[in-house]
Amino acid sequence: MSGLERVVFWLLLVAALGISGRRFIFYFHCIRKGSGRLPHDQPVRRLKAVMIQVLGQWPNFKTASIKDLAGPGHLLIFWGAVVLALYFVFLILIGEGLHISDSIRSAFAARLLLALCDIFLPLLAVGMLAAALRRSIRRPERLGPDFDAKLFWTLTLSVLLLVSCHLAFESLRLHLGLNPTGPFLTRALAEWCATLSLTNDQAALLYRAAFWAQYVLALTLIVYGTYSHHRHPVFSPFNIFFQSYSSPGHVPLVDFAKEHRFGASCPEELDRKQLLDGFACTHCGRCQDSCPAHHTEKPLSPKQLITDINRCLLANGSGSPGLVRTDQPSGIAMETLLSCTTCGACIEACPVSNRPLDSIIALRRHLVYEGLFDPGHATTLKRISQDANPWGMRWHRRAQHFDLPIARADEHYDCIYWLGCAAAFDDRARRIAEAMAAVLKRAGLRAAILGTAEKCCGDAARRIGDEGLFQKLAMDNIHLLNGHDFDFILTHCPHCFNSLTNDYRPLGASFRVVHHSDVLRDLVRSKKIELHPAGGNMMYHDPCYLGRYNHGYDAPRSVLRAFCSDLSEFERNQENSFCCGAGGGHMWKTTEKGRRISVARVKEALQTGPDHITSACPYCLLMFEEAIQTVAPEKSVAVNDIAELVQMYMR
Amino acid sequence: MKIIACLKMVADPDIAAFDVQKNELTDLYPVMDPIGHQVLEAGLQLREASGGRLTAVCLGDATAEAILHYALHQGTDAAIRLSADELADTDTWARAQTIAKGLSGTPYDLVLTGAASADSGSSYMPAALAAHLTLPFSTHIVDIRRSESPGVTVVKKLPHGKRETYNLDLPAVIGCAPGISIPRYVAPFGRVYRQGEQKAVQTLAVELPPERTVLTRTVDVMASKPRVKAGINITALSMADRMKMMRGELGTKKEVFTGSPDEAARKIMRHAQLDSTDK
Amino acid sequence: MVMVKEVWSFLETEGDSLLDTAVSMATEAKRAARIFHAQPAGVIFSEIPEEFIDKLQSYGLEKLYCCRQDLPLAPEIIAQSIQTAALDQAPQFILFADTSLSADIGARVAAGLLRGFISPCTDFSTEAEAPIARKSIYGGKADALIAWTTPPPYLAGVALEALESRTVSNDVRPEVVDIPLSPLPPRNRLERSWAVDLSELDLTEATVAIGVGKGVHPNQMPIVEQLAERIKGVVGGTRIAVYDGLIPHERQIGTTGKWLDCDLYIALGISGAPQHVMGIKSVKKIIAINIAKEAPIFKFAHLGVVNDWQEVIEHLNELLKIATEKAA
Repeated sequence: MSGLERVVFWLLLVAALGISGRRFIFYFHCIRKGSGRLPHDQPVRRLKAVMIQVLGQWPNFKTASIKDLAGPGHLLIFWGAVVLALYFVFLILIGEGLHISDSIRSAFAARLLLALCDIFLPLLAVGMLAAALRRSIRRPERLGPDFDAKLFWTLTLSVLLLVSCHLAFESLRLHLGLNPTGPFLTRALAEWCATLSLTNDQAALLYRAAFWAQYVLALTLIVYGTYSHHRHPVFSPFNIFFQSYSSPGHVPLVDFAKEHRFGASCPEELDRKQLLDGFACTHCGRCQDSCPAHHTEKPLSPKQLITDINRCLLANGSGSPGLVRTDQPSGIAMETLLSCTTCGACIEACPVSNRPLDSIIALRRHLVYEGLFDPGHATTLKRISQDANPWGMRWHRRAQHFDLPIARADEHYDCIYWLGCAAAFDDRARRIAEAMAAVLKRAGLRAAILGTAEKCCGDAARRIGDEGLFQKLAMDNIHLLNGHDFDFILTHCPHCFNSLTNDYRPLGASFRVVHHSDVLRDLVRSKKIELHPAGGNMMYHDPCYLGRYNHGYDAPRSVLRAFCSDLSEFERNQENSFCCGAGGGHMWKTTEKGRRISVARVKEALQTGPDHITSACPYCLLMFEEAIQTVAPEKSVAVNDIAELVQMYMR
Repeated sequence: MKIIACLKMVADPDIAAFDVQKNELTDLYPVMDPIGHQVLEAGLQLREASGGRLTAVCLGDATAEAILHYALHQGTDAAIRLSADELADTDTWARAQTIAKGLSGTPYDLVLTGAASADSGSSYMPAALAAHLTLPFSTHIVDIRRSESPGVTVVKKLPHGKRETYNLDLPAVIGCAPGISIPRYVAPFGRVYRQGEQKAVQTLAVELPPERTVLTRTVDVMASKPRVKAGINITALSMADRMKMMRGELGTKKEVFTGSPDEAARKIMRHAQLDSTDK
Repeated sequence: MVMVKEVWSFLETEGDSLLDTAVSMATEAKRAARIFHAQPAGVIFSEIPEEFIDKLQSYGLEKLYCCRQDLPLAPEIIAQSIQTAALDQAPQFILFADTSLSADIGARVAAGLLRGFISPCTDFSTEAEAPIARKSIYGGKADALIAWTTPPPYLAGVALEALESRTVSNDVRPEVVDIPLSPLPPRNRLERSWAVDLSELDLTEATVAIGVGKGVHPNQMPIVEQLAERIKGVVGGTRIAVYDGLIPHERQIGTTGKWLDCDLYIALGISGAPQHVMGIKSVKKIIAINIAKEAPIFKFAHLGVVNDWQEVIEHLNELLKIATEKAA
């Protein structure tokens, strides 16, 4: 490069880095506006996660991507970009910029890098081309709804041009004799150049054109990337490092003695991790694809939510517009937030460790703080508040005439059977508890119930955003349980289970709580109950609060296999289980948009046509029974809890 | 508009029972009379529509403070507990007199109360209160609105979907019937709740005049004995049947008909007395 | 001023007809008169009391105090008229049915006369020659015996479930005594009487309700609506009916919906799931039509019909049409 060219080279670099740099500093300050601190305990575990998730691109190989090859495709693009970046820094910026190209290129590392370029950059081009074709021809829904294919083609063509210029530059370099040798593709291209009978001047001109084209394109792409969601390669490794290791359902405690407000009305009131999510988001839409609300045409897209929060954050000057569309016309709609069933599938699906559910809960809390409710939710919260159950029944009618004794404070029990509100007040759900009680009796376990002193565990209240009501119920329940002597608390309801363990622990509870699937498995294994074989095909549905929230996939299956030889799976099972539609207060919502989630799930089952649909959650049970009545009332599909089945096939 | 919402502490009517052995009422859990929720909500909505001030008032002992804190959390501007002695022997008339005396220091345009109370079932309070306050009143009301002429327009609920619209000058007393409003939910530690937390419940001791009148006296409380209708031997009935009789269900037996659609239609006509003219 | 003790019953009218409660209140006056050794009389607001004399005589009344003005009237005017008449005629008892009209009047009369008002009563008796009223408290869990501590008249409201209509042999033709209409302008001014349209009426206020369940298809709704029009019923249904778009969610009957308290409920194509049955426990008469004879609803229905509901209701609609035409 001439002296003038060198000046231009450095000026362009300074300009590009200056623009990008300023923007990144702005992003950094935006994230800092959030509350709390980013979690950084267990640093080794976190670093390992970064290795696997970033370098190994492991999340992109999880189910959603396996089918559409987006995962393998992204691997090519990712590694191609890494190699290109390394090449750009070492061989262009340092090598050409500092005019030490020759000494750098003689190093082994540089020759290795050039060889990698020859492999990975064409693959990068192929990856980009495949991605662009996929976006304009197949148009995957999860990349929508506002996907701009034209913009992506521009990007793809720029990258293709960049790769071409790179190859031209390197091969001409070789052709012009500036390098002694080069990797195979470069060599092949150089040999091909020789056949073109270019004069030295022509070659040199092309060489410099290729260099500058490559350089300018690279700088442009850097600046463009900074301003678009393609900034995610910078932020997602950090997001993965600072990921939350809590279960998907983890909700932070509010200390009402200290906090005057709760919930997030503006981006500053979200925590830093939640704000980082917006920058790490790749807009891949896997969360949207796995969201049961989105799947049934409700106005919720986790991706859109993350993007909207980010947009709001970036739009702020000093004044903060609200995040939620309450007093002002912009922002996230209330119905969007209320459509969520808190199933956690979005968290499971995200390749960069985003947690849209966390932000939804924070925003829901704000709605509750301001007194804005879905009418069904308001009624349910009122009912819980007055009678400690969401069913609208008076508290003194809880668990009447149940076939287990009421626990006395002065006696020891093997287990306290926490019935939960569904079994205590709903006649259908009650049969689960009756079946379980029969099994306990047969197995010789000494169990008791808490009668009318038991209150709603508070799960629905907490997930709707009413933290105050939840804590009130929790403190009362903890006090009640502390007054009794038992080995463990048994519950058949995953919501109660999750509440009594994960939600109550930060409030000082330290009970041992066991879900009935674990108890049944242990009873079967230890032969305390014997089962005779069942005929027919059974299909097991993983409840969200047992499966994704608490990793309870094996015990129910183990129980079922003890007597059922024909156990089939839903297509979306275990971590990818599709919600029944009752969670997060959705059971109690009256204004429903779109299709029913339970109907969608039941239709999935009916494709296989099992004799039995079974689950380990009373709400899943109620939702499925109701959905079958709507979808296929004439079909003889039985819906049973695993406890009911065990009682049925118990010797 | 300055509004007073009168609330009452009762023993939860759904849970209260009569112990025949001990010959006394048992399972008495103090709660706010359920109509109070709707009365408060009606007051809040009126205040939101026309501006002004809403004060909750309850005549009772210290256990009634809980109701007044609840009212403040729901969003009332103030809450007053009226305390007076000898409350146990009072009747509706004397309670109304006590409340009227207690309100004498507070300005108001509208006094809202329940149309009937859940414990005694008496519907006398609106009339009694209006008499002691020498105000007009309207009771069994399911809608209240400011009218163009000074005053309020109210809608009284009659059976079978019938309604009457009245106009009242203020100040006035209104007896609210169930259905007047759907009570809002205020989340603990939410914005409105916190504002309510800042306020204190005022206690006002009411001095009753020596010549205060009691118009009725409870002689005894006993097990329920429904009215014996002609032709029924009550001693032969079980308790369940007696309850059925009280609900007017006695004598209705169940049958299942499997004949032709035409015959079924005729049977329905007869069974449901659809052939007689509507009243 | 009469020398004989009288029991007065306020008789509700609407325009030119006697309401059912009026007849049962006449019976009540007769019954109370027997208990207290008094003469039963009625208080009525009507321009044509002569039309009712025969009927009221057959229910035992011996006198009719009449204000010659048809209802509806502002309650204050009614109450003040009765109050004046009571001061003139000095009855021993004045009884009012526990309806929203009569209870309102009774309370006003009592307050005007500075008397207590014991309501809703289920019975009357005497103790040491003083009258005692029995009323149910806590929604029927117990009874309280209450005495008046003032001189007569004794005012009481009578619970509707205690009322019945019973004819008796009565030779005394009721004498009509005119009472003046109060000239005082009411402060609670009646503007108009109207009725809520059946399509907007809340299920809990309906006298007659029809329920639709999963056995009802959206294109069958016109038949249901025709039945509703003929029997003046409000259409509700199960949660399934809400999902299928047959009814709005405010019309859902069941645990998490509305709880009916009506006289008649006709369930069409409803199987009778526990959640729905919870909402119809208090209905006085339940008729259910379902094609499946094992449908759980038949355990709760007073009349169950095992058949295709559409065929039955089409016949029923025809019969109702003929009945209305005959009545007209």
